[in-house]
Amino acid sequence: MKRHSIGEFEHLVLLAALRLGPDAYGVSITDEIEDRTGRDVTQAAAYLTLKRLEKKGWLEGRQEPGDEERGLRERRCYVVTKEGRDRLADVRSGLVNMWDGVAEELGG
Amino acid sequence: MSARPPRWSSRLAGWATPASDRESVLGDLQERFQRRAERAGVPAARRWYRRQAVILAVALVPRRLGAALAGLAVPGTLRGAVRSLVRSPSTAALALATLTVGVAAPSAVFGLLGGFTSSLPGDENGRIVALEVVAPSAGGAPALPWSAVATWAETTAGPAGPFEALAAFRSDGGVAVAAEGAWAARYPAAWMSADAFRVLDVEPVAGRLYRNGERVGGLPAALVSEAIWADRFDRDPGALGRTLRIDGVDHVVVGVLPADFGFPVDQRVWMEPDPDAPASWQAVARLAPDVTTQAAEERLTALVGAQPEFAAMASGPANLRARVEPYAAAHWGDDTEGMAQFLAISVLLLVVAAVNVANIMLARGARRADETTVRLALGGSRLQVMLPLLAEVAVLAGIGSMLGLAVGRAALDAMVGHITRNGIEMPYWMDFSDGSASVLFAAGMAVLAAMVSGLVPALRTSKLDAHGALRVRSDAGPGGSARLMTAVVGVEVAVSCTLLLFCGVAVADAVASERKGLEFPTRGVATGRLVLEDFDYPDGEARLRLAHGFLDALRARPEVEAAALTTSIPGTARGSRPVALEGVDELSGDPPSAVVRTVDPGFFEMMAVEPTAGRLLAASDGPGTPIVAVVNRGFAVSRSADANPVGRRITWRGDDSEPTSATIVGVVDDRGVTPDERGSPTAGVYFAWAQHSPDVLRPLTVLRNPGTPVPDVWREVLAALDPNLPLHDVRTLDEELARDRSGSTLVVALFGAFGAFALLLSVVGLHGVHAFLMAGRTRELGVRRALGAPTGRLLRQSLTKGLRPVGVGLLVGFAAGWALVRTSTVLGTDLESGLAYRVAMVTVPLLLLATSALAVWWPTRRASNTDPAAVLREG
Repeated sequence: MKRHSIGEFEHLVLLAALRLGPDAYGVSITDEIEDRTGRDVTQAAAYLTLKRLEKKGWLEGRQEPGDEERGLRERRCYVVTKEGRDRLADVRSGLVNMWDGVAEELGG
Repeated sequence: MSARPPRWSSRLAGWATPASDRESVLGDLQERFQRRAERAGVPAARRWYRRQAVILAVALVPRRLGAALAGLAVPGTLRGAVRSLVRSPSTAALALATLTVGVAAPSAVFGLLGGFTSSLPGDENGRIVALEVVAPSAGGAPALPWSAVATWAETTAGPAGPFEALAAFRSDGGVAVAAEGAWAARYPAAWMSADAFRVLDVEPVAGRLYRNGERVGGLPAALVSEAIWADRFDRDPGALGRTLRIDGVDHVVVGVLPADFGFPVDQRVWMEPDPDAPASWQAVARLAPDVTTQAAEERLTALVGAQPEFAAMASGPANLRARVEPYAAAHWGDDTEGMAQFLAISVLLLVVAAVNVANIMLARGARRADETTVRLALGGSRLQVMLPLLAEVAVLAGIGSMLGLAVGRAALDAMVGHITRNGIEMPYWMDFSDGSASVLFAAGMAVLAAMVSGLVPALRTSKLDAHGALRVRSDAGPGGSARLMTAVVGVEVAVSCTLLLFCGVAVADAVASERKGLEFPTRGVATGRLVLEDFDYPDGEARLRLAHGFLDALRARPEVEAAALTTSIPGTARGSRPVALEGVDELSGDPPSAVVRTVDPGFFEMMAVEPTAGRLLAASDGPGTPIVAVVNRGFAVSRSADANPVGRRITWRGDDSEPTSATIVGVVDDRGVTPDERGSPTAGVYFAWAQHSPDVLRPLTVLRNPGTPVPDVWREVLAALDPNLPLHDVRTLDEELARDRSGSTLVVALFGAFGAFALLLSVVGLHGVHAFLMAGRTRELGVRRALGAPTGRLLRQSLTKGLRPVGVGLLVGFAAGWALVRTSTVLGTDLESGLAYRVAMVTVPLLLLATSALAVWWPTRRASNTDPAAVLREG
């Protein structure tokens, strides 16, 4: 099977969805990333990345009814699939290995 | 109360997002918007929302389009379109020809406009500017003395001033240039200060430039064009340092300027200026970087207000001001405005062409109704249904624009060739060869044509549904399409009428000013021009000696049948000036103009001009005898009540601006003058050569043997009289007259072609639509005939119905055309009184109506003549 590469923003979205649990959806995910990283997330970037992650099989989406705040429009909720979790674990162990011994170099 | 996101941005975001995700994306956006509104206020939230919508659109639309096109299989569709067009070759050829000419006309005019508006070489961003002083209340622009321009150069050109460099110049359309003992010729020349070379950024190809006030061995310096260096000196480096006699003054050639340089217009010789020459100067400058023309103008205006040279002109300082404008624009002024109108008219022609193609496509779309219905029933999208038709239009527009570009290029070359061949001075910087702009323009025109001709029929087709298609079949006439096509015909007739009216008036105007009165012999007559300069011929006696010597020597030659002298070519309106008739008007009261010609007595005989009263000019009318004149009938009839002004005096202003009087001794017929705008002969006055001894000779000569070259005979005769006297403009009289008419010939050719094409298009379009509609009604007409309806009535009804949109179109088009003719600056100003105007205003609508009636009648007759039995059998 083809092994998809993972981009930096995809990494952040997957982590946000993992943190938020089964009720993660577009707004909560962008809020989570904006709060924790301090960067602005455009709706277009969030939408395209969520679509891509779903296509790669790392996220699974489902439609839920919307509330007043969003004009009763449906919301699409996401959970991280097993493949998604495995991929995150791989990336993490790779990164931890790479960071080993160099974090001090950056003063952190 | 929750805030609402901006409506249009919300629509944009929704439109950009695929339908399956639209709800969740819009919901997310709205939720984030609400939170932002609470946190940062509604205006900030709305700004954020707009930005998000735009980014969404930018990110998603190209993906969606790409996916849609991939789904439609564009290459296959285009191949299908080509196949479909090849299957109906006549329709395709008609549409293609229509689009080709439709694109060719505007792209040729665009190329012409591009050439006329090209900038000077070495002029980045219009920094070479013409400087002028204008005094509106004193009636225009005062003359610029040398001292004034010198002051400008001292105070405004330099590191601190608005100009990098500033120069004075003046030019002459032809000065006598003679290389001692080698050759003599006339060349356009200019006197300009050495700063001009910096302004214009020009370098010599040989030798060097001259410096301000430089003397070479006590003589002023001159530069010649590479063209002269090649033609006259065979590119000999030894030409540098040679002495040339220019307008009677010796100059030393110090350098050669490139052949493609010709400042200020198309000059070939440049000389150091003589500041003491009693002349009016012009000024040209290069703007310093970052200085605008307005800033320069303000600075110069302040300076001009304080200059003593203009003190007499300034009724108040505010009245006098400087004008700074890009040199090329200043040179052409309003002419480009006329060209722009011309361009607009040619684009209108393209619109007519495109509307025609739209009609062809509407008919094709209607025929394709079955196929469309099936596609729609199978779940095809609107885009998919429109695609075959759009692809056909795209193929037609693509090929049509390429062909149009080629045809337009050829037409442009022909026009430029015509203009330059006929001696209209083309400034050296004009470049008609720049193709890239034309290609872009043609591409734009092709898109316009495709949009006009493709979108309406395609949308129409896509609106069909199963029900509509069924109705189409049962009616055998595409209900909505028929109405639309009829409306389109109305629009087409209206636009054609506007165009045709404009072109008709232009052509009629030009034809009316043609020389109908050419009843004098022109065949075999050769003409030329000799100019006697003051320095060689200081007085009338010397000029007369040369003229008589030349004429006598010519007449003495055995090969010369006849020879005569005139100051302006017969059959042209050149040499026109105000002439006052005693007892009728005064010279100070701005009397009407007459064509004034000074001729020797032999002129009348050669041109077969006969006296109708009094006598002709005679050899005895010489210096020392009372000044006499002969007038033509046009003058006599239009100016004096009894049409016999013999014995009365006329007054006119000569070349030296002094009023001169003469007694009328005879009246002659109107040969050799031109009819005016109303078709009556122009007033003409003839003076005796020996009494005025003009400094310009236009010799007319007829040889016994037409094979002998006249110039050789003239040169041989001149060699004995004055070997340094250059002979110019040697042509036959017919050529000279053709040049005189070249402007109107071009107008007639261009507008005639435009008008003819507009007429052809509207007739073809009308015929096509009506034939299509009638084909659909064949069955109905057959049934009605079978039921006993008389053919005449059916024909009348169909004709009336068919001509209704034509009538509406004619009314609208006539009103628009009338407005266009009246506001246009391309046409003459005194149109309404002219016969041409009235003729065109009546002829054009009648012509359109007649051809339209024919175009409608033909298919109607065919349809109503169908055998009812055959129709019923088929039914």
